[in-house]
Amino acid sequence: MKAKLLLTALTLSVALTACGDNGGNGNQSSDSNAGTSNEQTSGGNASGNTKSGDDLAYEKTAEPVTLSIGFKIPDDKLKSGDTNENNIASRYFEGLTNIKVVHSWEAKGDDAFKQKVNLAIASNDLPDAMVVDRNQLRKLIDNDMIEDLSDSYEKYGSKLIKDIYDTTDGMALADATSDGKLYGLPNVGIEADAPSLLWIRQDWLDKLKLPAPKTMDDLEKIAKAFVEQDPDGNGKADTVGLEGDKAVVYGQKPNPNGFDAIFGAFHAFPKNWIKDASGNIVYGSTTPENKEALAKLAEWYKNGLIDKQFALYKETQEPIVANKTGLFFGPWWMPYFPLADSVTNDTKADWKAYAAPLDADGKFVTHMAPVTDRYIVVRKGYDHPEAAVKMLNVFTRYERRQDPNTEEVKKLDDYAAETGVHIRNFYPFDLLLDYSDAVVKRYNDVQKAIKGEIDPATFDPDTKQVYDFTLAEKENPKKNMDAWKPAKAYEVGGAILANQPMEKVYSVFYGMTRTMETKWATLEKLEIETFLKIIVGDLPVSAFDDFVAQWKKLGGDQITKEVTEAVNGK
Amino acid sequence: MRRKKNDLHYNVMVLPGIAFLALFSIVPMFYAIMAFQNFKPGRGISGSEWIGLENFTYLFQLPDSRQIFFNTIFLAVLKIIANLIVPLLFALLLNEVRVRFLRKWIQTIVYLPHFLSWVLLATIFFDVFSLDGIVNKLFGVFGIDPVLFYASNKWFPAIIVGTDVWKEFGFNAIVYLAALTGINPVLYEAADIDGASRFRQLWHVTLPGVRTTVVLLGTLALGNVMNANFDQIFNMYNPLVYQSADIIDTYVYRVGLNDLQYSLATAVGLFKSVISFILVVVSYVLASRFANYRIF
Repeated sequence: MKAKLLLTALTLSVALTACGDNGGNGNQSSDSNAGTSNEQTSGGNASGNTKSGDDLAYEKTAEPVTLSIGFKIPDDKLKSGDTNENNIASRYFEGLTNIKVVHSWEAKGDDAFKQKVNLAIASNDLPDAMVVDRNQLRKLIDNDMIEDLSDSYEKYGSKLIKDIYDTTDGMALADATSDGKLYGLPNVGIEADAPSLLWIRQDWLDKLKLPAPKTMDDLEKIAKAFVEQDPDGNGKADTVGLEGDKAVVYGQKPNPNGFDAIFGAFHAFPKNWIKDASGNIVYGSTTPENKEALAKLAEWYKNGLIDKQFALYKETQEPIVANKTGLFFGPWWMPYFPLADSVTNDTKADWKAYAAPLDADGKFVTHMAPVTDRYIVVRKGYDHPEAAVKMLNVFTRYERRQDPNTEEVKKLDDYAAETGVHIRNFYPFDLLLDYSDAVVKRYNDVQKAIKGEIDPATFDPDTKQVYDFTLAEKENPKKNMDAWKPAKAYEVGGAILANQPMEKVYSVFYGMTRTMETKWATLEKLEIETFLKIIVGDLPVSAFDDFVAQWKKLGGDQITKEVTEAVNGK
Repeated sequence: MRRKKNDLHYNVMVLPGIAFLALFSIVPMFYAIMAFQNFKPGRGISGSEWIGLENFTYLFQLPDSRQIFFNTIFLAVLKIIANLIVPLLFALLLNEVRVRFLRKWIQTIVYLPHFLSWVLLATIFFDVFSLDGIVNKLFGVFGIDPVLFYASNKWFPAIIVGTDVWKEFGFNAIVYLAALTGINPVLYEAADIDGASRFRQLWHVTLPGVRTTVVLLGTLALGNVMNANFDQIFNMYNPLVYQSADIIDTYVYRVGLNDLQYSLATAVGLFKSVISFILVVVSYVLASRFANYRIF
């Protein structure tokens, strides 16, 4: 889906907090001065006869190595002459490592890429290395198709990536480990992507003289007004209330239109494994709190406050882009997509985000996302598994602005500034290691710079860009949509993440268990169908209890047991 | 059959077709044995564990399987019947049109949709049947409350069958039209002289003339009872109407390619193929008995 694709493209805003707070975590490869991780240039830990640590991590391979990959095609337009396979970024990384990356296949968009990977797995025809998601990793480990990377990572992993992995308290690596063997190099995602905020057409809200929403009742009033009082003022009853998605909730990293926040306000966390009041591990979609949320949603749907057709759109953003709705849930990056399209279609559109609805105690409650959700894997039998590690080393070093080759880095930066191409989209692997608070930190820095408290000249390029765009947007609102996107995402979305206290609920388990492999698809289908049908009124709310009973019977109990064992066994 | 030397080039011409068939239809058949395995791509057919009929047992325990088999057969049978009757009626009506020019025009226009893809049509029909689409606007004129067709398990099968018939009836009518032209005009003249009305002529001359064609197409269609058209349904359905529109093929697609349960998906597909095969044989026997149609 386009939304997911954009989520990836989004990384353009999300990256690059230059100096980390990754202090205090020692690691095997190196020394004790872990307070800053800027010492790559010195190579100071190479003592002794054999090379170790970063010397080895960034060393050119003696012989040229070929690494074939599956590549996700970005939207960026390269200068003529450059291709997805041979461009300024790929040449730079090849020059650094002596590793030649060739593309076994390419796919455009997240869905197509996922299909290609599935197909590669099904036909047992893997490229040397590629990026896979959690289920695919599981499948690959199970089928014994990928290399154990423990040694390669230990020996060739740079201090920088080890430091970043350490900031997750070992959670990231543990996620890619099975039977004590490391099978994938995971990404480290940012926390900001998890909460689903309420996005509202502020111009509609002001026109109808409605106050900003806080509670469930406020939201209900606004939805009602948006349906009935012709907020777009065209004299036709063509606006809908709250928008939704046929997935109902996303559970981990939300896209537009999930009802995650509604469930959160009732303290229900569907699709997450959580601990209940008595400390037992339960599947979040089966707790009684879900019933209250579903009852509320069903009531709204019946009264026409939720778009009657929400489950039918092929692309969930359609009504938002068409400005038929002024009310939906989505994470902080909505201005990048789909809101930019909404504003392009109607320049009067003024979108604001709120941390609403709040729960009965006035708190905003949200589930969180897993630390990691994709992994670089290496095909079993590939001669140079370390090539994948080395690639990750160099592009992560560049990404984190710690690349000592200042001249080449400047060339890349200039190229990016000139063409609008995002260098990171041309890394061999679409997988970033980020500090989890990147968005909030960048928002705070930009705000401080605007107030004159810090000098923007000290910013890393990405923060600088957000700062520049924010200023440009202030001067000429909605002139340049490329400026509007980051400016609004940070100013509106980032502000809430930075300032709104949130009760964050973490899942205790994200993986798959034995029984899940065969039964989960059936259970998920049962869940999504039940939730949807209750909301649209095909089933009464009481059908939720039947669902829970059936869910347990069809393997849910067994899976809960396995998950409990997996969590307690850690 | 008699062979001549100059048949050779025909045989050469058929080679690509045979290669295609072998590569995409015959070779994959051997892989159907993965339905009896816990297939793991990394180990291949030879290395995967044999589990006998476990996949089939599981398949019949699934709460969905009864529903998807029912949906498949229900939708396919409705389509077969509708696709026999509607084109026949249309061909009969068109045959009565005496203006040759008009007849050709109508015929051309109605068979055009056959060439449109379901990807495109699904989008168009979504608009047509949406809350502010044409159909609901029409309903509004008569004071009927708008209906969410795409979300209603009551309406959705009708939409699936209806749109399929709309797309195909013009094309299917071609065979009937050909059969109608094959009827000896002398018979009509004779009927005319005997004082038969047009309706009588239709009943006693036209219908008997196309009877064998109808029987033949009907029996051959039996082989399609397990095919409810993946293309169409995959592009038009949504989770709300899984209950009435999820068919074997869409299910296999989701289970096999989205959930990576290759063996289970293969088991479902194999089961479907076995039933289809039986139906094809039956239809062939029936066709040869009632319509004197033979391949071998």
